[in-house]
This record gives sequence, structure tokens and C-alpha cells, in this order.
Amino acid sequence: MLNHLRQKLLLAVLASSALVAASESPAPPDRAALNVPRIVLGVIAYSTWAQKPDPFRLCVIGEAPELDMLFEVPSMVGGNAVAPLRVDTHALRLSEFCDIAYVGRGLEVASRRALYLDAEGQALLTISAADPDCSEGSLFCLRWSPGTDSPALLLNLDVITRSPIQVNPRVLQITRGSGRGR
Amino acid sequence: MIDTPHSSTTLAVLLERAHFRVALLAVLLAGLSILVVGFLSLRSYVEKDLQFSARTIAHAVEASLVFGDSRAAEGPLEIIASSRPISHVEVLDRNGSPFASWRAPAGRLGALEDRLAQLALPRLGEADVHFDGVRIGSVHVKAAGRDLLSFIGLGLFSALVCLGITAVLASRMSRQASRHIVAPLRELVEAVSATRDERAFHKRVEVARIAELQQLGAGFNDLLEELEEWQAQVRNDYASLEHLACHDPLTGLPNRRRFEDALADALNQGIPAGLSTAVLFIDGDEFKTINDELGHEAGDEVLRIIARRLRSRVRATDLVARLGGDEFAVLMVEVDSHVSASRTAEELIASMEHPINLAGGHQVSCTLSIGIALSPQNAGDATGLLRAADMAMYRAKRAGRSTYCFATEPTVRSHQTGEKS
Repeated sequence: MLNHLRQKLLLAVLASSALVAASESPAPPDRAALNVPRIVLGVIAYSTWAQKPDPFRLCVIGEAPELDMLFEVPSMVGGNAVAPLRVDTHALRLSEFCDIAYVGRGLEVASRRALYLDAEGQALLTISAADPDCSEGSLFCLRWSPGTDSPALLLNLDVITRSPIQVNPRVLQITRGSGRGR
Repeated sequence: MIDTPHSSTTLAVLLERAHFRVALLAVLLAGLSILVVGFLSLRSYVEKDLQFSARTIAHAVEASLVFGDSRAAEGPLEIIASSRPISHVEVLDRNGSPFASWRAPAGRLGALEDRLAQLALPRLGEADVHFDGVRIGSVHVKAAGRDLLSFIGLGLFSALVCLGITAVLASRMSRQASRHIVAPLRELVEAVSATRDERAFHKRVEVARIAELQQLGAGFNDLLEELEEWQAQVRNDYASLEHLACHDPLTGLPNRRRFEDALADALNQGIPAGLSTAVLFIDGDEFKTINDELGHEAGDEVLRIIARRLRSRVRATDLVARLGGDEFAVLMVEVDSHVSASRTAEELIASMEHPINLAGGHQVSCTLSIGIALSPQNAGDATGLLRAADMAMYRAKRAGRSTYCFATEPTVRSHQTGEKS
């Protein structure tokens, strides 16, 4: 139990923030299950809002089993907790009650585009798991390559430039590597 | 030149060796100190550089650690590490587990470089990776021995080059120095051996430029001068002793011994055909009376005057000697006939025509009796010839004053001297 807790803590810390974990999960965490939560927390850590959200409201839209761990384990970024929330596909004005929007699979292209359009000019950090070219309008995208258990992080510079959320250029070190399509 | 024994070395070799050793030592000491100082400063530089590299890498891999993306760390790791003297970089996560690493491709002297780096640069470059004030990992950088090795190699190479240059310069300079030192010494040695072997005391040593050698040379020259003087003195002494042994001290004429030697020489050399060697045996007629009446001093004076007069009337090649008492003899070589001998005898008798003036105002008159013997006509050997001349003189004496007589030939010719008293 204690061991398990430690591993949660590990996840949190590796995600760079004082991420506190206290889980009741009986199954030992799969290493691969930590990959995407870590990336998401990392992106949050390197992004700056005009007003730092407390907690970080993370809205998950569509199918995203890779984020299950975030729902099981409480986590923190930069001292503020992360509050995950599954939201309906058709919910609009996401920016009003979300700081981060994770777009999973199973959504129509049109509804995704509508979502991004709606988020334009808003302090909403959008991360898409369904856009391997990262061209639909989200700030960040995840792309899975066959044979790897960890996705590559891509970003859309146009959108990032227009967004009120400031992204630390260091993220480029990660994304650039991802852009090569490893 | 004095032969050099095998066990001893020449001054030039000694000088060259000494020069070479001093130069070698100087270069080695200088090279060693430069190497040590260089090594220490290089090490401190490398250590600072390692620290800097570690911090740079920590900065670069921060995002990778945050995202847990170790493959993303490889790029910046390689870019930074490959441009620096780094052999190994290890990035550890917060728990000290390996996160990413980079290793330099093994160089040509890989193992040696690693060993050298371990020995000389034991310290690692270390830096922690922080994010939001939290330590999320650490970076450990190990130095490569490449630069150190090339520094040592270059240092040794330049030391060798310096050694080579030094050796050449040292030998050239020592040769120059030994020219200044050894040449005058060699000259001295040669002068000494010349003096020893040839008794060449007239030689002098050239004065060298070096003060000690100058003194040595001057001293040797003085010594030579003294030796030369001493030799001349000895030669003079020897000559005067020889003169004394062969001459009559009173008249300065050769004595009987010298006369007999000269006569023997003349006979031994052989007499050319048609010519003769003549001996004129001369005896003063009144000498005993003078000696008795006027004393020995007067007698000596008379003898000296007779000697002078005899010498002035003979040829340059004729030898006039005093045989003892008032006996004189003349040796004439290569006489062509009786006539020349008798003409000489007449001349000698005529030389005594003038009376002799003595110191005390006395005036004495002295006449001569002469016996002539010829070789080969009268005798072949010196003793025989002298005896024949002696006997002829007695016959002349019996015949009267101022006469001369030839040996064996009973002819007695009297010569009137026109006695004056």
C-alpha cells in the first residue's frame, strides 16, 4: 500500500509539480498508464494563465482511457490541485468551467473544430488525442506511433501564438523531438 | 703531441659533456615545471568546464525530465556533450534511477584516455535539475582524457624538440668554448713536447684570451726563456771548457793535443796526389836566456809575441800551435812543393827580425830554428811526421840560428836574419 503510494508520488514528481498522490487503487499502476497523465501534467506545468487557476479544471471530452489514472489519483501542479472532469461532447462554452480541455477519440471532426473555434481567444488549454497532424486548432496534440507506448507531443504554433495562455518555449524541446515522428 | 692514455678524457670532451648535462637538466626542469603547471591549470579549467557542462545539460534536459521523455533528452545531451571534452553523461531522475545517458564514441586511444581521465580528473561535474523550485533530477558528467592526452603528448613532443635544439646548441657552444680553452692548451702541450723532444727552447706559446691560460702561457714562456738562457750558458761553458782543453792559455794558440788531433785528421782524410801535408817544428833560440835573465813574465810576453807573429805570417788554412815551452808547430795542408813550405819557413824566420820591446823597457831579440817534415815523403803517420820535423829542427839548430832544415834531406839552408841586438 505504502509502496503503491510512493509510486503515485513518483508519477507526480516526475510530472514536475508537487503532485500529491493518495490512491486507493488496488492494482499496481502500469508504467504505460502513467505516460499520458505525465505529459498532460507537464504541459500544464509549462503553461501560464493570466491568473493561475486553483484548482486546474481538466475537462476530458470523448474516450480517453489513457487518463484514467488522473481520475484515480489526486494530483497537483505547481502547488495547485488538478481536478479532472468528464464532460459531454456537446457542452459548449467549455472555457467557462474548464482551464484545460483534453479531446479524446470518438468525436466528430466538426464538433472538435467547433470546440476549438469556441475556445479561440479564451484561456483554455486544448490538448487533442485525435489529431495526429495537429492542424485542427488545438494548442497541443498527442500522436501515437505504432510500436511505442508513449505518444509524441505536437503543438500548433499558430494557435499558441494567438492564445492568451503563455507556453514556456522549453516545451519545444519535447515537441520538436516528437515532430520528427519518432 | 703527447699520446693520450685511454683512461683519460680530453678537456673538450669534458666540457662538451658538462655543457650537455647542464642544458639537458635545464630543459628537463623547465619542461617538467611547465608540464606540471600546465597540467594543473588544465585540470582546473576542465573541472570548471565540467561543472558548466553539467549545468548546461541540466538546463537542457529539464523539460525532458518533466515530461518523463528520456528520448527527448538524448538530442540536447548529444549536442552539448559532443562539443565538449566529455566522455560520459548520466542524467538521473529524482530517485537516482538512470533517466538518460550519453557516451562519447571511443577514440583511437580509448582505454588509455579513460584511464588517464580517471587518474588525472577524478572529479565529476554535477548539477541538479530543478523545476518550480523542486529538485527533479541530477546530471553527472565525466571528463574525457582527450585534451589531457593531447596536452601531455604535445608537451612531451615540444620537450623533445627543445631537447634536440638544446643538444645541438650546447654542442656547438661547447665546441666554441673549447676552441677558446683547448686550443691554447693544446698549443702549450705541443710546445712542451717540442721542447722535450727537440730541445726547441726558442719556441714561444701564443698568449691566450683566458686569464688563467694567459698566465700559464706567460709562465711557460718565461720558463722557456730561462731554459734557453741556461742552455746558452751551458753551451758557452762547454765551448770555453773545450777551448781550454785544446788551447794554450798563455798564447791562445791550440795546444799539442789539438795539433796532434788536427794532424791525424789531415793525414786520415788523405792527401790529394801531387800535394803534401807539411809540419814545421819551430823552436826559439834565445828563449832560455831571456827567461833566466828577465824572468818568467818577460818570457811569457815573448812567447805571446812570437805566437802573434807566427800566426800573422801563415795562410788562413794553416794551423799554428804551441807544443810546450818555446816549441811551436805549424800544420800546412795541401802544400804543392818544398818551395811553399820553405817559403813559409823563411817568412816565419823573417818575422822575428824585429826585436821585441818588453814592458820594462828591455828589448830582446829572438830567433827561430825550424824543422820541416812532409807527408807522404817523410812519414805517413802523425807521430812519425812530428818526430821527423823535430829531428830536422835539431839539425837546423845545430846549423845555427835562424835556419830551417828539411827532414831526411841533409840539405841545410841557412838564412841570414841580419842579427840586430
